[in-house]
Amino acid sequence: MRYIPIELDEDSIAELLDPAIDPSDLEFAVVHVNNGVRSYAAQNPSLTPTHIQWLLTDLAQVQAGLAQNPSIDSQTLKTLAASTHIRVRSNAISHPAFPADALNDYVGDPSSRIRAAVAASPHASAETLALLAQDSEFEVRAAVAAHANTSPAILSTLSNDSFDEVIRAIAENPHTPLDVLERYLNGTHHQKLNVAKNPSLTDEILKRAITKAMELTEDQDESWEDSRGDTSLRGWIAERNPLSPELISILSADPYLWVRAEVAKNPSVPDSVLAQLALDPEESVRRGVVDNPSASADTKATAALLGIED
Amino acid sequence: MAKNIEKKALGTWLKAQIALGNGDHERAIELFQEITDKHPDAQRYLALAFMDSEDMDRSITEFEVAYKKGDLKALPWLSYLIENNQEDNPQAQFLSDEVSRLIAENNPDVLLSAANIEMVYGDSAEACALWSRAGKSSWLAMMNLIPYIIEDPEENLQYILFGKQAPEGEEEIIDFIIDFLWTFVDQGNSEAAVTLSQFLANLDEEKVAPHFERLFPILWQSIQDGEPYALELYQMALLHEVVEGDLEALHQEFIAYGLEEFELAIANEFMASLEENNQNPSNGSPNPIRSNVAGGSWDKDQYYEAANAAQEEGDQYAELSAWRSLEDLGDPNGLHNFAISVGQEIGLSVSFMSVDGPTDHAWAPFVAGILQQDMRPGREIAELELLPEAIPTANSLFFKRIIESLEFNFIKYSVVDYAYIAIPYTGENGIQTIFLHCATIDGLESCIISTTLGVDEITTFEGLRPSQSRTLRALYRNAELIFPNTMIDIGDVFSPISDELKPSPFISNFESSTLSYGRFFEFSDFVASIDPLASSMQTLVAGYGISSELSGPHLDTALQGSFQALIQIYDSFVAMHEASEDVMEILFPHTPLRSEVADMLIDKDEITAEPETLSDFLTVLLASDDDEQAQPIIEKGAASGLGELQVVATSMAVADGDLAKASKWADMALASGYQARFFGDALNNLGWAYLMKKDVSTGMKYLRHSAQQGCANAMSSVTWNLLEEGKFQEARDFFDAHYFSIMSRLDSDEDFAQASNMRSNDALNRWALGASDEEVIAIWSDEKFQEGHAESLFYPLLIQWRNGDKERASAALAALPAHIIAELNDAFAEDRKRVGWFADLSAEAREFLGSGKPKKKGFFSRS
Repeated sequence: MRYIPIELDEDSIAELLDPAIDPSDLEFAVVHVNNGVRSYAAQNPSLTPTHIQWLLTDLAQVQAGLAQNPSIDSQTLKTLAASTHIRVRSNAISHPAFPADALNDYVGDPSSRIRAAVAASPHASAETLALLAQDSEFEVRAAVAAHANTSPAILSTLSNDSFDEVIRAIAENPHTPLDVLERYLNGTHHQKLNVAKNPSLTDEILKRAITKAMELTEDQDESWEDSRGDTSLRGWIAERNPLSPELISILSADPYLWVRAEVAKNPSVPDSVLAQLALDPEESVRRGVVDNPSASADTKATAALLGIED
Repeated sequence: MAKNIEKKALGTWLKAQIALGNGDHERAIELFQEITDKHPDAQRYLALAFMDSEDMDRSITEFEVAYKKGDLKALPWLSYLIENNQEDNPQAQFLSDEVSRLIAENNPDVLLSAANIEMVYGDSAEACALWSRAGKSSWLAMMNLIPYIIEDPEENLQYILFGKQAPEGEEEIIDFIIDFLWTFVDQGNSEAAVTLSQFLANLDEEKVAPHFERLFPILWQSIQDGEPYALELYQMALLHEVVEGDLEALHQEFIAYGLEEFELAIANEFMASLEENNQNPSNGSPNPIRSNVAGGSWDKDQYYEAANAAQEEGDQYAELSAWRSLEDLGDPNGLHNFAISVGQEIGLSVSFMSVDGPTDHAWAPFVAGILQQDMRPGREIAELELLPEAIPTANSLFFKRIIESLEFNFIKYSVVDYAYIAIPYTGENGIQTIFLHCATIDGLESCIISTTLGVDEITTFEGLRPSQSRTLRALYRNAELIFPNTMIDIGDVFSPISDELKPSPFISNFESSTLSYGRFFEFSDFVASIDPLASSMQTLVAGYGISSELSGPHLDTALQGSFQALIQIYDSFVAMHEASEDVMEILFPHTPLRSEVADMLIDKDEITAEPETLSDFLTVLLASDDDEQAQPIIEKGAASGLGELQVVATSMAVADGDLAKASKWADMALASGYQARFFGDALNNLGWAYLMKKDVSTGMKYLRHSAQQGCANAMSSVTWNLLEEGKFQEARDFFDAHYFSIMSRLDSDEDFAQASNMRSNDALNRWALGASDEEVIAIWSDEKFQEGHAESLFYPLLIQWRNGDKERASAALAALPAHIIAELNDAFAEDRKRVGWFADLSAEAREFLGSGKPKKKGFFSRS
């Protein structure tokens, strides 16, 4: 036997995490001298019970990986949750297989990282989340704001939080009340960016937002012509998938070329619309059509006819 | 003579002489040409410069002009060159005769040049004789002689006796030379005064002091009277405070001679000598050069002139020194021009839009950072008076949050005391240390993260110069920004922390008699904080202050962003130093504090607290059988948790064959619970030593302990031994209990080879306990684990042979290399003590090995 290095890059990490990895290769990774390799191998769902027993005796970095393993059992997670290492405990507690009834033991933990792990657990109850919503640390509140079990009322309260991380989580949460989402659509640049793809937004709200986004902003005048209004917001809405036929119709006729280019790239746009965009005078729009997997061969050929640079 | 020549011309004369001495003929010619009508020797020296540049025809022309102007010193040269380069020149004979005639008349000028020619092209003894004939009236001849007399007085003193009795003994000879030179000095010869000073400088201080008292007023007077030869000497004497004098008045003389750049070069030379020799110019008084700058002895225009002149001269060191001094006078063009000059040198061009050229050059961040500072200045960097011994500690909650952040992100650290953390990092330039202190600054709790960029042994504490602050600001900007040279700054390493809570950068240059740093032993948690220096040092520190208002992911980002930036700043600092120590020293006298430099700073008094040093010390004691001194050290080590000392003692005792003593130390370390991979190796050697003495029980005890410490070799031995004894299940249980901890800590080729061996032994134990052929074959056939392991090739063939496929198995066996067969024959030799299943298997193995032997060929070929 000789030392065979495993360089950790995107491909090797994907292989280490792949449940279909060859069992011999997995064992080789599990006992590899590189801590990082063992840490990723510990996350592989195909670990044997022996592997798990070995890794439970390993360094905290490796145990933290084990605590993220999707197939790990609840008893092992309880063992890991008793670790002296904060990261191992945190990963174990936030794991979906961590027993719901054990969560309450950690709600009052002195460390905000553990409280955030409780708030990130899918088993966290509405009551627990309501309690943690009042936490002094933003990372805990951000976890509450992102949670599917958090009540709309709590989400509404948290929507005025002073930390961007909390606002972003509220903006992306599908359970956030529509009035909050609409407020964000008319709010700051970051609020708009994060809320624009929220799946709960209705066409009515989005149409109102697009209409408002066509108006001149405070620092614009008539000379802005096609690029007038909040083109960023219109572009972000154009990236939504799915995008309704009505919104497609509005945005595919947008005066600003980069908004039309986003529509042209959107896989939820039908070929009939893409065929029209294939004739767009702007190359960036035609390029979007060529790259769109939903565009037919004819449509792509049409887009290319007017010229697309490599 | 010189008194009739204007000082500017004399300055030019001196510059030309220096250029000629440096081999810069082109510049020398240019300068001599400027003063051929102003200095009587310039025409001849112009000819010499052409001669040196090997333009002989032009040289002859210029010598002829000089000769015609009445310079008899030119005649021998003219004659010599014509004779050797223009054989057909009709003047050749006349000139040669003329030289002979004048030499016969003892004309001092002709004798001087004839001697010089002899020195260059002929015999030095003959040259000395000719100089001597020139006599005392030719100072130049005497000046040329002096070095030969100093070099070999017994041989050459005769040339300057002029009828006097030869001195005897070293003291007399020295006094004679001094008196000889004084005769010229007393005649008002300032060059003689310079020569005398240089001669005296090598003698005892006691002896020379009265001479210097007389000499320096003379030198100063000569400078004022129009003789520039003593300028350098006098300036150095003032800077070194050998004599008292007025630097400002001297500065005015340099200006009068047009030699400002010389003054600066001498000053820089002085600075370099100070830094090199660690000399303290005075007891706490300000450094004269720096006070010259700070006190405004030179104004900005003078630095501009000096820099431009140095640029013309091609003297980049002087140019950069002038630009740096200009910056320190408060003119931001100083460092700007400095950066342009460095940029030109490395081929880097910088515009507002872009940086083109070798952007990976060590000086590129500096050049780009300084030249773009107008538009993108980077953040304000505070100058903090950072005195480690005076820093108060913050409350423990913030400290706990910091520890938690480090742990959460798997950052290795050591807590030196309850508010002081050390973090080792490996940058491009080796292992360095980042320190964290919890502190209260301006009433606010903070965490100070810092690393030492460099140390300077000069103890004059002056704080940071403007040029240094600005340089560090450029390096900070480069380290913090994600794409520092793009037109728009796209985020930094502290995103997404709000601007008001981002870590605050600071730099500090403090003088301290205490330099704290950490030493790490095999990245363990051991850190020693020591006071290594009796004398004080200037320490240059870069750091960040981190607000206690930060928490969670924001605190993580602040800490990690600070680490990342400080590592990059340190690496830049070292790389700049390595790329050009000279240029770096113009900006910073600090030497980067590398780990090997840190090693040199260990205070010998601290030896008992340094495990690594203590190990070395212990090794020496044990090697010299000094058990009396060694024993208390080993025991003290045990009490302090320094188990490695017992390991060292164990290894030494095993090597000496003293197994009783080795067992004592090993047992002491085992009892203390000491765990280390290299302890496993020591126990393995101890176990084997007992096995060699046939004490199997004790040997196996230590081999088991060795395997528990991660030694694959010991696991191989234990499992094989149990296999031979028929204790298969015990072997399997022991293997399972320690397999993972051994495999995940393999760290040598031998370890990896033994890992294959122990796995193979385990397969045999499994087989003995009833595992299927397929199961064990799978173990032996796994290339990743068993590559190159001889027995792993053998056992699958043995199974094949046992299962009846004898022909193919034997053929495959015969194809194995001879050394593997030899190894296998040894492993299954008949004299091995084995019981039960493995004894039977060994017998089968021997039979199989016999079947695989190549058939003996007959004496005659059958073909």
